[in-house]
Amino acid sequence: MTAAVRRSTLSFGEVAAKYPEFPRFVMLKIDLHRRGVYYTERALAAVDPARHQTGGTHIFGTRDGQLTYRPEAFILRDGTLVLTTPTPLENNDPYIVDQIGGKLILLDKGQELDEIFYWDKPDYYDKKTSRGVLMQNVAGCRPQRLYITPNRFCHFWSEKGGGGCGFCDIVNNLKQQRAEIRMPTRLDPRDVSETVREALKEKGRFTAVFLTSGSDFRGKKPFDREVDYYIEILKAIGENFATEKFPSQLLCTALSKDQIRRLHDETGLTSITMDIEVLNERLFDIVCPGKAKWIGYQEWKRRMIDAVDIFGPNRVGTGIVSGVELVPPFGFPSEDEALTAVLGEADELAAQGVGTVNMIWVPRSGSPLGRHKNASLEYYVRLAQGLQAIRRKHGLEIDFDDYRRCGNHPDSDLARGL
Amino acid sequence: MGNEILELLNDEASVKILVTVDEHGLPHPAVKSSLRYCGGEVIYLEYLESSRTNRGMTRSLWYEKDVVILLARPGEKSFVIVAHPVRALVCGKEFQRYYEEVQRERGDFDLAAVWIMKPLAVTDQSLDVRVAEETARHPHFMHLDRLAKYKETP
Ligand code: SF4
Repeated sequence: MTAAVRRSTLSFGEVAAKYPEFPRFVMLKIDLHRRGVYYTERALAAVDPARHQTGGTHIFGTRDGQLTYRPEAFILRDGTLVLTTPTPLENNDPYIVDQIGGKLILLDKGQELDEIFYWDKPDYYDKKTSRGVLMQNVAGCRPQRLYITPNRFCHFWSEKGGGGCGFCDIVNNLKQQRAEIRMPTRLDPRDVSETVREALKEKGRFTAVFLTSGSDFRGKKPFDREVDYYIEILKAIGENFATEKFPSQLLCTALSKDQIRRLHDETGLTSITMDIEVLNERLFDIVCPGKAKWIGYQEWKRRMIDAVDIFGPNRVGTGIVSGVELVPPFGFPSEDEALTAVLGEADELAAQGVGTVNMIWVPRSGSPLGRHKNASLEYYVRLAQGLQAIRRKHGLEIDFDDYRRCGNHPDSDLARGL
Repeated sequence: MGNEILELLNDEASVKILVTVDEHGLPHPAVKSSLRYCGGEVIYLEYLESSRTNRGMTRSLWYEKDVVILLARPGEKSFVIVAHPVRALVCGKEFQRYYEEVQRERGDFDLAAVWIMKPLAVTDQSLDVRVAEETARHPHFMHLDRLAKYKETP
């Protein structure tokens, strides 16, 4: 029998009272990611497919296993993005979105909390490339970020891969996307170039280009294939900019220093992020066996620090899927111990120029750890506060991955006001 | 509530100063010509993501604090508007309309946020109005020589 993880049991109101300096909007976003959201029929009826962005193109799947056609996500009054997916009513006590008096209202246990707003769809979304590919399948988006996934297959899930990450459902999601929305597994650089060109016609819409893919360890040296392909795609994107560099972020495997230098020198890329996923060596080996096999924990960290030499400080980041570090039986026995360990390692990385951001772990049914629970609200509040305090202590900025360019990290949401 | 005064936000002859408060409690005043009044709301176009005013506005919305706008007019006329930020538009079609307006007016220029505020109170701070108020309500607040029957002529 495994002992239960010691978690905070405080309610939203109690956490808000205990941490009055923590913005309510960001706290609400955290809880929405934790518990999920359920759209009523009336809320779904308010979705105008001609105007609103609907889901389906994201690299990871949904909480309820249904891909389309519901609001991609929504935005709060302060501009905070909420990126959570629909959750069945019987699961996890989700928040409710309803339409009341012509407005979209967020409710918790029957109590009206605030007005929310669906995302507007970009103009290019329903257009096709000259090769006939639907542009939204080439570049998805967040309100101000073009989101390009050149390769949706992760080779860590293949026979030689060593094993995909425990929280990840990329392969199952891809199968569903291919069947339901004809999502291509790999993008053709020509389609990418045409889509970006079309997207840039819309004034005031985008502030950043973002790329991520599944890992691909093939090549002369491990991951050369992944790097060559990114360079090809980034060059195709770059054709559309008058400047050599353009505000951009690549989320990739921890590459060697030579590979990182190539990305920096041969493309317009301005920042790089290599998600370590779990800031603890023992847990990294368990949760991310493919990453552990092909790179290893200490080497992953070294490579991120190497990247700072190339891209400079404030341009290199790493992400953690917060909550998996508590999964029994291998996780930390208490939230206090997890926080001490995670923030300690984030502090060491920040001292060397690498900023850490956290994602709220959403246990998805198509992933190996999908039946477990994520952490408490108080844990996520303390973690977000701690990560932002670490960046401030070391004078690190997180412009390329903030509330607006990304919107998936409660800690970097704080950077706009704290 | 003082709509004709709020309308003065749209007059080019007005000098408009937006005062926010930073995380240390220090007021941060800044001249903001983009402030305007429209449809019962005070609108402020923020051009810089990293500006102290933008951070202050964010904190006002987060912590439900009001901001102050000082409206100065020619001839010692001035008004104070207290307003409450209710929404930050940072994306979407409505934001994009403002972005295009800024580009039309200023050329190659950026827009970080459109702040929407609800006006709560308007006070006339003009010297003549304040003197009349103080004289009426606080007759003790004056120097006696001003009331002397026999005054020395300078
Ligand atoms: S590296 Fe891990 S999280 Fe990323 S796609 Fe592969 S298995 Fe999923």
